Amino acid sequence: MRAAVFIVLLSLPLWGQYDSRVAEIEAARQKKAQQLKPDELSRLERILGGVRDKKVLERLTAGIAGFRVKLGGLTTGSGFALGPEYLRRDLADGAVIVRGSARASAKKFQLFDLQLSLPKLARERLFLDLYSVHRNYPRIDYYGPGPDSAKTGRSAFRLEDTAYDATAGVKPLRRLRLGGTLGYLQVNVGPGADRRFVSTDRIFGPAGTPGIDRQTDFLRGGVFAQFDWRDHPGGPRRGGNYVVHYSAYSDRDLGLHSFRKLDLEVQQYVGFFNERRVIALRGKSVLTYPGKGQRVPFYLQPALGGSDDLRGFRPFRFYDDNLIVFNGEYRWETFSGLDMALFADAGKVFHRRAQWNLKDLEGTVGFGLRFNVQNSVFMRIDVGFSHEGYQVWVKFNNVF
Amino acid sequence: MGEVQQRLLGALAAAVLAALPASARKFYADDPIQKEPKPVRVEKAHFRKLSDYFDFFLNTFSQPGEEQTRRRLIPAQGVNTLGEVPDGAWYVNRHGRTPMSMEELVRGPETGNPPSMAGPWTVRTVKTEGITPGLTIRDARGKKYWLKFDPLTNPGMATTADVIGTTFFHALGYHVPEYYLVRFDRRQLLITEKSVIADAMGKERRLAGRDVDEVLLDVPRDKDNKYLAVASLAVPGEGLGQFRYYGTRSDDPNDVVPHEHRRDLRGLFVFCAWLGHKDSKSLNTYDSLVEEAGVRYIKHYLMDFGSILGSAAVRPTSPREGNEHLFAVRPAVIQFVSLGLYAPRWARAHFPHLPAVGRFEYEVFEPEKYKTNYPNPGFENRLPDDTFWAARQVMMFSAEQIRAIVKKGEFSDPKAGDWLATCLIKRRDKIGRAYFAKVLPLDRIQVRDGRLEFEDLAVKYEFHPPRQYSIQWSQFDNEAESRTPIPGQTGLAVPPETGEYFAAEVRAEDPKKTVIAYFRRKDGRIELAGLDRTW
Repeated sequence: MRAAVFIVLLSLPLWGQYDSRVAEIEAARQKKAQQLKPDELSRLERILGGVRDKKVLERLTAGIAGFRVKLGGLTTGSGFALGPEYLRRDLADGAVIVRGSARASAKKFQLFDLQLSLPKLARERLFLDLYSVHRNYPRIDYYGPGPDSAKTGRSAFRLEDTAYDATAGVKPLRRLRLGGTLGYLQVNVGPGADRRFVSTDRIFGPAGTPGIDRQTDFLRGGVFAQFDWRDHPGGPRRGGNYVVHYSAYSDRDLGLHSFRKLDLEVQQYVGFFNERRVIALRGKSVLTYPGKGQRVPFYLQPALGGSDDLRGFRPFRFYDDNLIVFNGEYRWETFSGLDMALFADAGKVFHRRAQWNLKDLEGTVGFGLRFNVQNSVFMRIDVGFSHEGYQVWVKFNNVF
Repeated sequence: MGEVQQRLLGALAAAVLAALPASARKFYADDPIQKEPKPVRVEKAHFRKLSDYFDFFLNTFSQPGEEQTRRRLIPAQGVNTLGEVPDGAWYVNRHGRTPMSMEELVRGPETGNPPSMAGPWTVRTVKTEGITPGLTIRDARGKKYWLKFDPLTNPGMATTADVIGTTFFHALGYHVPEYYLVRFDRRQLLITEKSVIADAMGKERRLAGRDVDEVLLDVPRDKDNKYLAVASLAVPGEGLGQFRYYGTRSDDPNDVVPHEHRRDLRGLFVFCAWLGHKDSKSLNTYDSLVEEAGVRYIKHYLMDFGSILGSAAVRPTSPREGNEHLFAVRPAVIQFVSLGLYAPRWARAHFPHLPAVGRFEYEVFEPEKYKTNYPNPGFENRLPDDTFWAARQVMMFSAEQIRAIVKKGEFSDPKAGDWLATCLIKRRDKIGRAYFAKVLPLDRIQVRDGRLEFEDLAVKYEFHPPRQYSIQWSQFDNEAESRTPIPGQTGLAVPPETGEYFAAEVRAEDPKKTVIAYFRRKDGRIELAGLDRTW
């Protein structure tokens, strides 16, 4: 024990006494030099670094060899949907985009589509898009025609259609797009597959619900113009987006359902407090012009209700030949990556264009959460309240 | 030996050890050192790349390293007895020790090595993904550079931020790479068989001319139709990845001070606040194994200043940046509960429309409330003497010097340069006012002609009116580290009866804020051996 104390005392100069500051520092370095080991990352850090370096998130979203999982994208009320998607943006050095997907939802909704895009023709002045889609939706809600349809009149129908569309256009200015569309649409409507509700064809007839008995094919074409000066289209904080689309549908088989359609949409974003607060406004109207003796088939009528317009109502709550809807949102940033929103929606469907006014609007109020990355909303949760109850929406897109 | 005896001797040994001070004396003969001793040779060190995600989550939801507590304040380490950071692998005193000439200041880290225009630049790689797309090139002399660009909406913003930031951080004492503003036309770029491009998946393929054209489509041009870029010269040595703002590198024998306690990293907070460097994180640092003067050692760099001032590299700084962390519970709850009706001061800040600046201002800037994108352990540990060390250096930049450095950005819009310089001057003054108030900001303390002299920086810069000081002289026992007041000695004159070491404790109106200056008689002179500050 005496020896032990002696050793302790002998070692004191090494431990606490140096003759200079430099010696003290050098001693600390020498001590560490004897304990060197590779500076390694923790397991979690290695994993997270691997996620970044191996671009796991990019691969999940961009896919492997062009294949990836595509979430959602079916119609409102279809339930959670996913499926494989093939997407190539690298063809011809990015001048050609090829995309195709097959998606299905928990409620057995199906969608198959193919797309070929040439977005950068003539140094990005011209664009061309070819798109084909087949949809098989087994239970689309239908409550009857007009704004006074009863909530208790809920029924369901199957919508099965195939569309082939071509869109070509020019961008004379950076923010302005002008173009035309041409396409062919084949439609089949059948009994709804929702056991809880009666099939539409059993309670609604062709008098009030045109097209319920027989379906047809359409040749359709139109022109459009869009002026878009939103600062961030995925999550705008200022600017506007104005779209007008005029199209004509020609009934090729029955000669009963030809009509023209005018789609108008105005979006305006007013940012304040350095754009950490935004008033977002949207006005949208769809007006149809049936030919003489023609009627717009119910499955092509504008519909209101759901996650994108009247959020306090069930999807497709109102159908008619025309529609007008307004949405207002007050959005505020709670932290980077999350905005909250208070919103109000008002709108109606109507039969005669003379009813294009602000009378008898249905209303919704609610609140929402907007999750965003780099000014682009990737997910939102909206809760809307109306006199028919409340609806909760979880969507992987921005509302507008 | 009986058990009782053994216990007694054991207790004696423990008592001896416990009674020993960490250092046997307060000052050594070589104090205060101006330069760290020659580094221990580093034979081998490994490259490892830190994870951006990990760094964010770790620092956002915890504070790694040793943190300050209310009960126990941990003073900065890696300093000399004056509280200064000695020259070494982390830091070199420049403008803060001896004012640099205007030419030296403006030149910054540049050694006259911009990419040579004598021949084509061979494109090595093109990066199209990530925050800042860019090119790596070799010039005709074979030197390797990384070219970065501005977003189309903000010509000159990120590139000048890089150049101006590098110049300031160099003058402030940090090791930084060389950045050069360059203008070139498309014909300057040569594509060879070895040129490659990495796509969004990181997959490489042979580079085509169209790839370069595509990158350049998003690059603004000047009035002569030339592309503006910042060329960053590759840092010499062997790259080892980034350093953390906490702990030490376990493979670096010279890295013995936990980073969260390094004064140069704690004080860096003030410089980042001044220059709007909200993205000060590990990923924007770099360790390199260099060989200098025959010694291989690890040198620590700050880099990537494209997201400072009003720039966030690919867009202007968000008004939120610099004022809030990306995520913090309290402000989020306030916004949640108030439905956004509570607008923080920064949300009402005015930013002039100057694309070359982005968003930068001085009106709502409050130095102590500055926030980097996520917490930094070194910054979180800062104490008033750390911020005083840094603020003193910030105040050493005259308005003329600031304007000269800003001019290096070659702004095509003179209003942009004027606004930036004005902001930096105003922010400088706010920094001086804020941090000189936290301590008694005495500087240039010395004994001359038998009298104590010092400069009160708060008074010098007119943040505080001239004030009275009380002085208490003491004998100082360097071995015991104890002061014994000398009765009646409260004037500026040095008492005649002092020993080798003696001290003067200076106070002003606030008794908590003191400066204790320790002097030493050596070779017939009286020299300053060290300083302690209280607050």
